[in-house]
Formats: sequence, C-alpha cells, structure tokens
Amino acid sequence: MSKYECYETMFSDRDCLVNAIRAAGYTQVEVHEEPVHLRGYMNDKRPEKAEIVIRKEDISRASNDVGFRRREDGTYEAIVSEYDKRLSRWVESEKKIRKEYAREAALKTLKDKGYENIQVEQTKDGKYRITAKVPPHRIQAKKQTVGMGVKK
Amino acid sequence: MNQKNLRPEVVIEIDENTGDVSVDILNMEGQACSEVADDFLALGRRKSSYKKKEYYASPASQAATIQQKNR
Repeated sequence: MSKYECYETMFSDRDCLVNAIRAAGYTQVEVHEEPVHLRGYMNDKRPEKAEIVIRKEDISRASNDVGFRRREDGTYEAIVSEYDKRLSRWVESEKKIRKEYAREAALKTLKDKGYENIQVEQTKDGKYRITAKVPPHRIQAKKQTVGMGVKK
Repeated sequence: MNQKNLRPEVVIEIDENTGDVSVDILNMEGQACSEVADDFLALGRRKSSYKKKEYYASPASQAATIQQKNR
C-alpha cells in the first residue's frame, strides 16, 4: 500500500482549481461539498479525505486517488500517494494544473475587476501571455490625483 | 507617439513549467498604477513597465508553486 503525502499549494479558488484539473485532462474530476474518502489502488477506502477528487482510474491502472482538501486558511492541499508522485504522468499533470490554475485565476481577476479587450495567447514554448486594457474609470482616478497635485 | 497617451494595459505571463506569474503594467505610473498592481496581489510577481523599472516584486515563493510538507 502506497503512503499518501500532503502538499501545501497556493490554490484557493475552487472553480479555478476544478477547471484547471479538467484542462489537464481529468474531465471526470469529482467535486464534493463535504470531504470524501480517497481510494487506494486495490479500491480500498483510505483514511484521507478530500473535497476535490481525481479517481485513480483516470490516472493509471495502478494509481491511487488524488485529492485536494480545503484547509482552514482557504487554500487547498494536494493529497498524492508516493507511487503517483513518482509517475511521470502525474508530474506532468501537476505542472499543467499549476499553469492552468494561474490562467484561470488571472482571467477571473481581469473579468471581476472590469478589464477590457482580454486576449489570451500561447507562445511556442507553451507559455501563456494574457493582455487586457485597464478599465477607463481606473485611468480617470489617476488623472484626478494628478490634477489635485498640480493645484497644490 | 507619446507613451502617456497610450491606453494603459496589463500583460500577464504564465510560465509553462512552474505556473509562476509575472504581471507587467504598461503606460501607467503613480498611485493608479499601484492600485492596478494590487488587483494582482494573489497572482505573483508584478512590475511596472512605464519606465521599465521594477515596481515591486513579491518573493518567488509567493507564486503558485507547490511546496512539500512533511507529514
């Protein structure tokens, strides 16, 4: 039986994390309001629990479930078995989840804050480049501040 | 064209391997630039490119990296 290990992450937005996991190829990711038990490679119920679960069948035949459990500080910790941690597929998936989470979080921030003309492109080396125009009211705030300075 | 007449914009780059984020704020300076930079506090490193000087940067460890915790 492969031991589970927990990792701190900077993920804090559930929707962004779930979308990132899906973008990494795990379309069947489970999302629960209350944490559920993870299952080991022999389908055994393990004591570790998580709200977001990638079932072992989606990773590899000999894998264990991978989970993301919400912590009190609002971030998620990843729960990954020693076996899966060494799998090249999971190592690549972890990279992709980090990258896709950053993309999702950036786009959410831009939309929530009213940025305009948001454009996403991916460079040849795989890097994301997102551009957006600052909303007009944010620029006006700057001009008003400058005007006040001039009067003084 | 005078750089100050250009519409301010942000350029966000996400590293393909680490998911680290850098945010550039173009054609903007002063308090308004600072306020725009604050929008991206949770994303990682930020800098202003108005004069291509670093505005300020948070430690790389604040980027979206996964750290191992002994348990």
